[in-house]
This record gives sequence, structure tokens and C-alpha cells, in this order.
Amino acid sequence: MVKSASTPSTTASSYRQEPNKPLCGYIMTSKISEVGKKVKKNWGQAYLVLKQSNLVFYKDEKATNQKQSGSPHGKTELVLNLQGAKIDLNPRDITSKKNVILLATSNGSKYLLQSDEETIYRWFTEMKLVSGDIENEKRPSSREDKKSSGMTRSMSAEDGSSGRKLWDIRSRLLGLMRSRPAQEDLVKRGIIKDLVFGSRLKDLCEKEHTKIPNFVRACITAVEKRGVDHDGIYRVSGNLAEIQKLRYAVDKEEAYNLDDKVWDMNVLTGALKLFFRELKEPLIPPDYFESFAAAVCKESYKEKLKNIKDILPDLPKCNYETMKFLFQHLTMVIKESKKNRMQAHNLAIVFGPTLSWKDDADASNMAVMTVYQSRIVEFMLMEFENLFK
Amino acid sequence: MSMRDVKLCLLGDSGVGKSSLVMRFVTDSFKPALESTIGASFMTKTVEVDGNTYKFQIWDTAGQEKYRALAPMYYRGAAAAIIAYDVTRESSFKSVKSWVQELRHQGHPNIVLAIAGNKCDLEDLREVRLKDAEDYAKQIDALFCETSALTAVNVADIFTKICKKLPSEDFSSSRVGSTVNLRKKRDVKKEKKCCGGSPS
Repeated sequence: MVKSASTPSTTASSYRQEPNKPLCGYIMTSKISEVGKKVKKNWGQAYLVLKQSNLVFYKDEKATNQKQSGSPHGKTELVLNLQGAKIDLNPRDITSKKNVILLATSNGSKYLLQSDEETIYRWFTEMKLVSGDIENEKRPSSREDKKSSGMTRSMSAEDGSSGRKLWDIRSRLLGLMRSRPAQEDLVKRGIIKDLVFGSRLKDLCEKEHTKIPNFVRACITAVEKRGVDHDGIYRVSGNLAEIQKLRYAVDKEEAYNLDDKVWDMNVLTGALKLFFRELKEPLIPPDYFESFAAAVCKESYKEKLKNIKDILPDLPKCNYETMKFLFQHLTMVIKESKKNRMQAHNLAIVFGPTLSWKDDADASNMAVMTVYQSRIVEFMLMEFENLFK
Repeated sequence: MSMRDVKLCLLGDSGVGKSSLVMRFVTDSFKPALESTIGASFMTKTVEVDGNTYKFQIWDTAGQEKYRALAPMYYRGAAAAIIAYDVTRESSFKSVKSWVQELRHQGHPNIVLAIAGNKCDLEDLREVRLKDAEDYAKQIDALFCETSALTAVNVADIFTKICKKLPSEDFSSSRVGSTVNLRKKRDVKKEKKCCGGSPS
């Protein structure tokens, strides 16, 4: 059971509702038959609320709270009991309007309800469930079909019980989906937590009250402790299974010790690279990529330096600080390049695509982009002292 | 004499020596500190085996994790693939298995697989036993060699072995690989023609 400290209802357009809140909203309605006798259509807007098995008509939303003697529902215009009612979708012979529900109550009165497709679909499902008009259902027709899955469609070709059964399952599932709490709600209640890997740098830093994510700091510190002269550091792939294990530990906020020898060097460096690859947005934000690329394409060294120097202060604070921390570490790696064979150029090839990418880049221009990506990183590594001090 | 084009793709973890293997095979040279490959690189080399000429079109892919998604572009339509690992790194051998699985599912059904355990000159640092790798290769019906781009051990051999294992069909037509030979079938049909009318 969901016991949420429920916030007042979301907007009318959001599909998912608070589980205990009845379905309600403005709908165009018209009576077409009064106790078996046909009457002239007269469309008008009403505020409808589905309260248990009753469909209650109001003039407007305010009326739901106004008092009326003898009525438990407020100032109503009309109360229809849906039990035993027949509910149909888009009765072609009665109206040419689209997204219409035909409601025939058990006493022989008929009403039409009309709204946009999504709303009507929702009301239709709800009313079906309330009315118990599921057994006699001939499957919903017309536009409804397009929404249903291919499987439902092919199955429903055979009439009768299987189609009915499917519809039953479907409405049950829909009911289940509707009663699921919304994702935001789960986040709010701490059931879904924002993880470390795959987060947005800014959010993660805010959560950790820092400018450099804890994991980045811890990982780099651990790598430096072991010595950055390790051959092929950051280039050689670590054991993928181990990297995932570490990631899991970090994400689950389990205690992890990066100095533990179970994590070998390539796992640590692999996890750090993975962290940057998995960020929702690259460390070099996409909005800045063009300016960086333009800067490193400048003719003279002086211009390059000046251009990049101009961009850096504009970067979001967390990006700047994390970048500075990472690049400082990488310049240390480069200093040991005699031993680890990772010169700036080589390190830049590895880190270029890890720190910058564009979501819309397809495979064919990915290779071209890589050239820029690594050039940007290489230049910033070479000029670290001038750029960040 | 006939010449056969062979599209070949090199796969494997980063830093196992894919580019070094290609360099040893193509230019018979070795660089101790070859830098990371960007995207992929392409080279060709023609060899003669048993009187037939094979022109290898070698796609040397980048091993960096970031480029993993690009690999299908290179192994698609490849007649052969060499999956390289580093005998001094157990984890790189584990990756071989995932490459094999991927190729079995996504690659050409008749693709010739070869596994190369590179850096076999570093015997004292060895982490992957020769026998384990051999058994695995046998089990999946792949060619296997331990190689060293540094000392050139077995590098040319693995390419020769691949030539010998290539399906023998299609030597007549010079374009092999993704070409579908439509002619053969048509000939058969003609022969079977049974109703009247002059064959056109």
C-alpha cells in the first residue's frame, strides 16, 4: 500500500494520479436519451468527478466544495450511478465527434462525454472498471486500436472470449499502472535515489555539498597513492566486471575502500573514466564544446591560450573545479611519462572523448569529433599552469 | 593468378597490442610506445599462400571503452576477425569471450575467428596460461596463436592460418565478402527449363 504524504494533485494533464484521488476534470457532455426517450443533443461543459461508483456532474470545480442540503457530494447538477451501466467508445451511429464515450445507465438514460484522446481514454478505462462493464465488452473500436499493442490487435481478430480476456487483463494492468506512485514521488520519499554514476555533475555536487564529487576526489587520491608511473595508466582497460562491482558499491553507498588491493590500478582508472563517461552531461558541457573547438583551432599559440582562458571562468563552478582537479592529476601522470609512456597526446586521446561529447553526434562524425576532443584536452593539459593558476 | 580481397577486423581491449600486431604484419616494424588508436585505422597488405594471393584490408579498431559502440561498423561484412588479448593481463582474456559472443551474434555467420595472445615475450609476467587459451579457442573453433609484435613471433603465421581457413568458394570472382553471386542460380534454372520455346 502506498502511504504517501500526498501532495495536492498534479496538473490535470499528467497521466498518473495520486492513488486515492478520484478522477475529475472538465468534460463536454450531452444527454441524448432520458429513460429510454430520445432527447435533442445539447453539448455543454461540466466538471465531472468519478466518486466510487458515481459519476457526479458539477457546474464547475468550485461547486464541488459548495454545500447543498441532502447531498454528500456538494452542489451537484447530476449524479449517475455507473453500476450496471454500459460504456462504449466512439459510437459512430450517434455522433461524428471524435473521442466520445457513450454512457448508458441502467435506467435507460444515455449521455455522451467528449474530450481529448488521452483524457477520454482515461475516463473510459476508469468508468469501465467502476461499472463492471467488462464481461460484455466488445473490444473498443477505431482510434482506440491504434494505441493498443500489435499483439492485442492480432488476438482481437478472433472474437469472443480471448478478446474479452485480453481486455480484462489490459484494464487491470492499466488500473495497476495508474495506482503506481509517480517517479517524482518515489524520489521524494527516497526510494529512488540519485546515484553517483550517471548523475548530473551539478546535482551530485549539490547533494554532497562540494565542488568536486567525492568519488572523483577519492579515486584520484587512491591512484596517486599507488603511483602514477604505472605503465599505460588510463589507457589500459581494467576488468569490466570489477569496475562494475566498484560502481555498484559506490552507487549503493556501501562502504568502499579504494586503497584495498582488490581494486587494481586499472580498475580504479577504469572506474574514474566510467564516471565521466556516464555523467548525464560531459565535463566539458556541450554548450561550450564549439567555443573550445574554435579556440584550439586558432593559428597562434597565444590566441589559443587567450581564447580558452576566456571560456574557463564561464564554466559552471563544479565543472571548472572538477576539471582543474582532474587535469592537475593528469599533469602529474604526464610528468612520469618516461615510465608510464603516457604523454599528453596519448592521455588526451584517451580522455578527449571521455570528457566531451555531443548527444546528436552519430558514429560517422564521432571520429572527426575525437580529433577536436583530444586536441582540446591535450592543449589544456600542456597549458595547465597558465590556464588554471 | 587470382587475387582475393579479405576484409579483416582487429578487436580487443585497449593496450593489448592490436595496432602493434598490424604494424608488425604490414611494415615489419615495432614501436615501443605506440599511442592509442583514434576511432580505427586502416591498412592493407598482400600475401601469398599456397599459390593464391590474398589482399588483407585490415581495420584496426580502437580499444578504448568509449569506442566500443563503433566496432560493429568495422566487423560488419568482415571475412575474418582477430581478437587480441594480452597474455600478461587476465582481464583482457575475459574480454575475448565477450567479443566472441558478440561476433557470433552480430558478425557474418562464416566469419573466420582467430585469437591472438599477444606479448608472449613477457613470459615472466604471464597471467593467462597457454593451455587455457588454447582450450577455449578449440572449443569455439577459432584459430589460436600466441604472438609477440615485439619479437615478431607468430604474427605472420596467424594471417597465414586465416588465409587457409577462409571458405574456399568464390576464388574466381575477385570481389569476395559481401558479394552475392546471382549468376550461379540463374544458370541452374536455365538448365532445368522444360517447357517449349527457344532458350534466350
